[in-house]
Amino acid sequence: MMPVVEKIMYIALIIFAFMSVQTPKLRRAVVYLAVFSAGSAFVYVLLGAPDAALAEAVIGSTIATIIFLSALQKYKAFTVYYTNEMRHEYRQSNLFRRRNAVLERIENFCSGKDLEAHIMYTTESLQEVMKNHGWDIIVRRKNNKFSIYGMEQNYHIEEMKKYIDENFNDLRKLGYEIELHIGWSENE
Amino acid sequence: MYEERHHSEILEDVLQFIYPLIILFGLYIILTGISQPGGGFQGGAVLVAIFMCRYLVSPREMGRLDLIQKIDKLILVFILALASMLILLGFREVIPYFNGIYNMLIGILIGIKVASGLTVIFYTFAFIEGGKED
Repeated sequence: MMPVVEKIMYIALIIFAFMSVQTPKLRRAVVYLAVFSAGSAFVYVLLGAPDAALAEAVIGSTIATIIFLSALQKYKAFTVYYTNEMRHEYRQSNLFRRRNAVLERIENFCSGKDLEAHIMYTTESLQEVMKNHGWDIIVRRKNNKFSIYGMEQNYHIEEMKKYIDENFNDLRKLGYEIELHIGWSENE
Repeated sequence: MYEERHHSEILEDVLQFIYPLIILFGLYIILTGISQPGGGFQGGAVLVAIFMCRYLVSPREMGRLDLIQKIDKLILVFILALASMLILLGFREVIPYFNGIYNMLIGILIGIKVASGLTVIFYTFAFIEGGKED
């Protein structure tokens, strides 16, 4: 009985270690690492070292995880508002199943720049979002036209422009219009 | 905006209830460490959870880091003094049950030392290193 559990735990540990290295999102990697740590604490118990297991459980899966998470909090968040004025509500299931290609690429851009993309879906109009929320960029969709709004003051907007010029050509070929507005007048 | 996002009354109320349990559990691990798995280091690491919970409740208040740092240093002196007393003064022959008492004392001291040391590390990391998020 015991050796079988041990072997299963060993395999699970390898899987979790691999996943924590492979996952693209840092937050997820931290959680996998915590699970790995808890698993290794269990293995220590099976091997007859409860003392080491206790230390591993407390430090590895709790304190280290909290320190990693608070480090990630300092990590800069990049807030993206997505507004589609044709819609009056968003269904949660739809959001998960059909990711928007434009938003997906913006997320890729952010992970390349070591930023964490926070995407907000909203039904408010562009002006309301601009006035009432803190944002880095706003993506507005109108039928087949995506307009991306950003401020000149934003540190990353120049690189974003370059990224959009280079990487959105296939979507443009499919008939989508994508443009980036940097700085605009109030009445727009 | 930051304050609103991080201040949670549910968290605060639940943690108020949990604080004594954390302290009790930490002390249990420290005191039973003589005969069971556990001990000063592990119990002290459990006790750090108190300060981490405080950070979760109010991420802007640092508390008295200098005081914790002083306790940390003072306890180190105590530990060294106790250990050298054991070697130099020879209490072992005079006091009955000396080993048990000594183990318990050093366990408690190490527990406090580890708790305050890890707290200093954590607070330094959370508040001072790298600046604050805004």
